[in-house]
Amino acid sequence: MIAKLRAGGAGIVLVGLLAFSPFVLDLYGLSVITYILLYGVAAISLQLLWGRGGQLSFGHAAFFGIGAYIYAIFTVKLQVPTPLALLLAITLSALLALIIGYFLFFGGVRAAYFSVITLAIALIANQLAISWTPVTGGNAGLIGVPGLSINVFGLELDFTSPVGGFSLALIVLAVALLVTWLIHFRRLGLIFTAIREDETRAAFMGYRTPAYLTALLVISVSLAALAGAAFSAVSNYAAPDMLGAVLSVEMLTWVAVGGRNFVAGALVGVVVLRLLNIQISTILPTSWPLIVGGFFVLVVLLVPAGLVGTFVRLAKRLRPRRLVPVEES
Amino acid sequence: MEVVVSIALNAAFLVSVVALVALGLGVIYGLLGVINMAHGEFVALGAYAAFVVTSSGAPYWLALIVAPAVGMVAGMALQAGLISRLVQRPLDAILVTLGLSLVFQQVFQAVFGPAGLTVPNPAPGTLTILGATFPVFRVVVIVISAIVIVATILFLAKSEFGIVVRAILQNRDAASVNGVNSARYSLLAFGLGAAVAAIAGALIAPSTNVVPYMGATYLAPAFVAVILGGAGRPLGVLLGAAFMGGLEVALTSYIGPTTARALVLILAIIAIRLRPGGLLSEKKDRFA
Repeated sequence: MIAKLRAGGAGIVLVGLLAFSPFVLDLYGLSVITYILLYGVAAISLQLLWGRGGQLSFGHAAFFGIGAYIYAIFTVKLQVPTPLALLLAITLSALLALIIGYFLFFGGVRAAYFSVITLAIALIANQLAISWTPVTGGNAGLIGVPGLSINVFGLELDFTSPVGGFSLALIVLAVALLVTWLIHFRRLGLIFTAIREDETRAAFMGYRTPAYLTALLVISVSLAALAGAAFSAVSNYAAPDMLGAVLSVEMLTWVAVGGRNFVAGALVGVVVLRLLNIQISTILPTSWPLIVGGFFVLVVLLVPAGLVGTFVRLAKRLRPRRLVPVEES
Repeated sequence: MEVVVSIALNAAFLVSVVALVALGLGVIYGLLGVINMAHGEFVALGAYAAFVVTSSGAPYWLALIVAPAVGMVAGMALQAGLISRLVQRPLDAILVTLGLSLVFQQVFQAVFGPAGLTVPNPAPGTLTILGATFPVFRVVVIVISAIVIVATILFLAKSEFGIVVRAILQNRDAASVNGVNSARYSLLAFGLGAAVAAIAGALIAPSTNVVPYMGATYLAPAFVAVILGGAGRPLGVLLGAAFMGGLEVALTSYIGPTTARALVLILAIIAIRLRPGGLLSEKKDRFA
């Protein structure tokens, strides 16, 4: 109960503090933090699948990019109202996840095989985006994607300005944190953990484990697609590298660097790598994939628990011993 | 008739290349439990080896010896330096190879540049087979691939190495009680898998542009072929490769390469749904 309140409080404080950013940051700083928040939501969606369900997606950028492309295609090519396009991005991606989950999880595909097939899905999505030029704009992608503006029942919310874009990113982050918080502290979270630890045993307890894993995939993909759609609304474009292998590996790196078992880890990883990207791309503009790959290898080899995981372990060691065993949070 | 023959020949070409890549993957996965995400980069390594050999003036055929040698050394170095440290953490080993694939691509790009390199065709000209014209070199590739595949399968099935490998697969502990040094066999298996991938790279080099990212094209179908075939079953892997490569070529002539690729993947996922244990498995083996 205390852990539940503490985690919820931490999320509220984080979002609350971030809400002051437009007052203290200049426009450049604001755009940097906007993108970090949206990538952060993508990282949270991957962490949910990896840390909670034990199923690792190697092609998670596909779902981020599909969300971005659906929003862009419906707004640019079909002139659909922006809120509807956002909803379509989420629902269509969720539907795709449902189909993938049905075929893979119900087919007994798990762990490494699942990872490989998700990578293949990302490669296919990337090729489709590049070669289906009339719809996706080919290599150049789609530009001039309109920002989100909601105008229903006299309620007008405009997210097209820089501050508006930041607000959208912050709202999306709050939604993602709320979803993970709800999952973590409900029965559902315990079931996911049980499946991650021992799926056979969870199945013996009467849980339909493929259905639960599919549900987790749908939630994770919806969050990734939401982040992607918001990204294309804020950045006003959608491009093939949004669903490529490099972004997929970078997403894995975010989660691995921060710590795969912690939601905070996903966010820390994004902040570290994105700031590093900004620093490095001014000096060495083309070598980012090399840095991501190398950094990723080093983290997996040397700091498998990630920054937050290592920190938590150290903090536990430093804390004085208690006589009563303390429940793991 | 001509169309059918030409589709069959093109399919045989792609299937033999995918089968080579998949066979190497299957050997590494079977023995180490590591899915080598950097396997495509060994294909590229073989292709670059062929480029270096031919551009230095040596005949192309020398590349068919140099490429696997380079691939074997690189694969063994990778296994000895990195993967062997992660025996207890197979998922992390896969992650490491995934990161390495990005690193290798960048290294290729730094050394050879991002532009496509070409390897001259060592056997120009065309053959007419049952009315369909077909490049001679592709026939050579099909024949050499078949020889390498049969040799690898026989090696795994009959040689002492293969018998020990299968013993480790069946029961690692029992094998080590009998004095088998499984770390040494893991090293050799990784080298063998990488060498086969590098041969595949050298074989496709004359018919394609040699670019840093070329491995990815063959890797995805090869992975799915291994899953379709059931890991640890070389014949199943061949069948999986035939499924992936054959369907892709057959569909490409009707609906274009990208759609064909997407459709083949979807069909493969459906096949995996129907036969989770691999195409050759009995239906009753199914679990879910």
